[in-house]
Amino acid sequence: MKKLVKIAIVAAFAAVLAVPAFAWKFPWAEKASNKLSTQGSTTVLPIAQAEAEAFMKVNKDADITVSGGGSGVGVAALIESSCEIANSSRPMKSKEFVLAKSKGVNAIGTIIANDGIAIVINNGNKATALTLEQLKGIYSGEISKWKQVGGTGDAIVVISRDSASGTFEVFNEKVLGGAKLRTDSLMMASNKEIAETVAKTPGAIGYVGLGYLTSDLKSVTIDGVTPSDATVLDGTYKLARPLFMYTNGEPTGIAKDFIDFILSAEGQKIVKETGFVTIK
Amino acid sequence: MKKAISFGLALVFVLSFFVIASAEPVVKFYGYQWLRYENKVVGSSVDTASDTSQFSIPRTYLRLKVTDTGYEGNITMDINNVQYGQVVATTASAGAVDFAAWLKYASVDFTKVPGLEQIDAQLRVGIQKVYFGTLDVWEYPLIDKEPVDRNGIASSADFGAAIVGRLPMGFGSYELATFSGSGYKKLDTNAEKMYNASLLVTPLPGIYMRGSYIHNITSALGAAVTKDFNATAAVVGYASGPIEGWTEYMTRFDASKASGSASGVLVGWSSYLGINLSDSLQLNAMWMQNNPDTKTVRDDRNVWQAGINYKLNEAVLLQFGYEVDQLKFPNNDVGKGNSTNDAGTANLNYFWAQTKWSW
Repeated sequence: MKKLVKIAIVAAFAAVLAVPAFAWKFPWAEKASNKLSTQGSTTVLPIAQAEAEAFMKVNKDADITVSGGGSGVGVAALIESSCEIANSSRPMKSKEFVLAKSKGVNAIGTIIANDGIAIVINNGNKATALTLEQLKGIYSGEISKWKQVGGTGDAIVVISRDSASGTFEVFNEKVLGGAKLRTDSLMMASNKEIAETVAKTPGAIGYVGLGYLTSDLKSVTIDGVTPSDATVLDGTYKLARPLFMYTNGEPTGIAKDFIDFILSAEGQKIVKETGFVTIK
Repeated sequence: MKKAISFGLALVFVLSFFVIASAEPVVKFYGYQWLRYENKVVGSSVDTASDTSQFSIPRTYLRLKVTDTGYEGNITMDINNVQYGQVVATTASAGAVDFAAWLKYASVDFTKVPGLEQIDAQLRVGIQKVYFGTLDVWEYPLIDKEPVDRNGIASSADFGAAIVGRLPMGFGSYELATFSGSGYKKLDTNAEKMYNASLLVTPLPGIYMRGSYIHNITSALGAAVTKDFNATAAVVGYASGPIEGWTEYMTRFDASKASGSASGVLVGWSSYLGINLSDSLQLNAMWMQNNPDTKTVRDDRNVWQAGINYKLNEAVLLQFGYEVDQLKFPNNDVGKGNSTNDAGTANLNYFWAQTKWSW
């Protein structure tokens, strides 16, 4: 009986500690109210950097640090309370939510932008449309000639992002769906590299963020849908995903000010300028 | 029935290979090492106390993780110093330098198994953690082992197959496993297998509860004698801002330890409290009470631990710890019912200093 009383006391103590707030620190450990640390997705990184620079121009006292490492690293840092905002190019996983809750972290995500992936080919190629199945066939090696899909020229030169990139992650999930990437694919480290290579290689196919579409490239429709801000936003374009910023509880203080800034017209203009799709 | 379950899991394991399709695997190499100094004073009085002091490397984890579509593989090699690890040379003379290397974890998670993926679960096969109480979640904020490991209730890792899943809405997680029951250091000679189930519930951020169960029938191959082994653990934990802690209750029945004078039943209680004073400084305390056999008089022990952790940077953690381990000699006070008599009580005092660095 005494032991049950002990458990009850401990549980009550825990409830009192846990319920009032989830993100508190001892007064001496509190960061200055003008300091903010964000960490995570390399996809979100250029947005976060550009937004932080613009925010700090307006708010001279603000001191925002932005670092990458990947979505998983950012979420882990949020759970360990070593950053205030976790940038993520994917929704948090259920096991991350469970771990966060057991650590007293109430992770709440805010969509700050959208990301659309355009399939691009050389301007001299007459192909205009592909289906997701055809795209999977091209990237897995089942389809190796342009004539098999109504294009110009002979061999298809497949260009992909390297596997460390978030863009590859979403392409892998939404297009390859578990199929093995062609072993002779050219792996590029950036959107810019892919755009330049496709522009000067007649039989090439690649994928880039919507912000990298130029007149030097030709984008093809996927399942009859043209990649654009509008089709990403209305959900008809299938190669798209939202980008998140996660906080412990509803954002407060400078974290709230920063996220509010990103969601504002000015902040969303920066989202567009960095090659991503706005939230509305 | 149990063998049917084992066979079923093995079948799923084999079939899982057919749903794996490789793209570009991501390979990560990382790990950490403990560099430790320990001073130990043993004895019931100053006159009889003996003092030892020792440097050691009780753990070097070399870890490799391979992630790809449909699976994630993990290998952890542990290289450690004999004194605190596993004795590999029983004839080693005092002062001899000796190290042991063990495959601590070697498992593959199949993340896209039909029927499991849909319920947010995965199949884990190989040498993995045993899912019991605080055993598989202890991250050594204090230098010593956590209570389940310390009480020898279960090996910290074992060979087997597990279904690892999450409850909807981040409400918790569960594990259902079958293991060799022999632990990761030994060849599986257990004709029967060990079964392990655990459920974690997180009703609110900062509050969690976990219940774990192990059932093992130990039986050497070809031997007629089987021994029942059951263990249960219940954990209530909390975390809020810089404070976290838990209370754990555990009990174990081991038929091989039962006799006319022994029940074979162990009961233990423990509580842990950690306070992050700042981003780099953490205070920790733990209390453990352990009654190894409920029928044996004066065999219980109390352990108090306190520790300070200082995070030098993201890769280097300095840990300092102190422990008082108070145990009572069995049967000294049989019939007296006088638990306050310290005549049969010994105190073991430990002081630890440790550097943990990671890469």
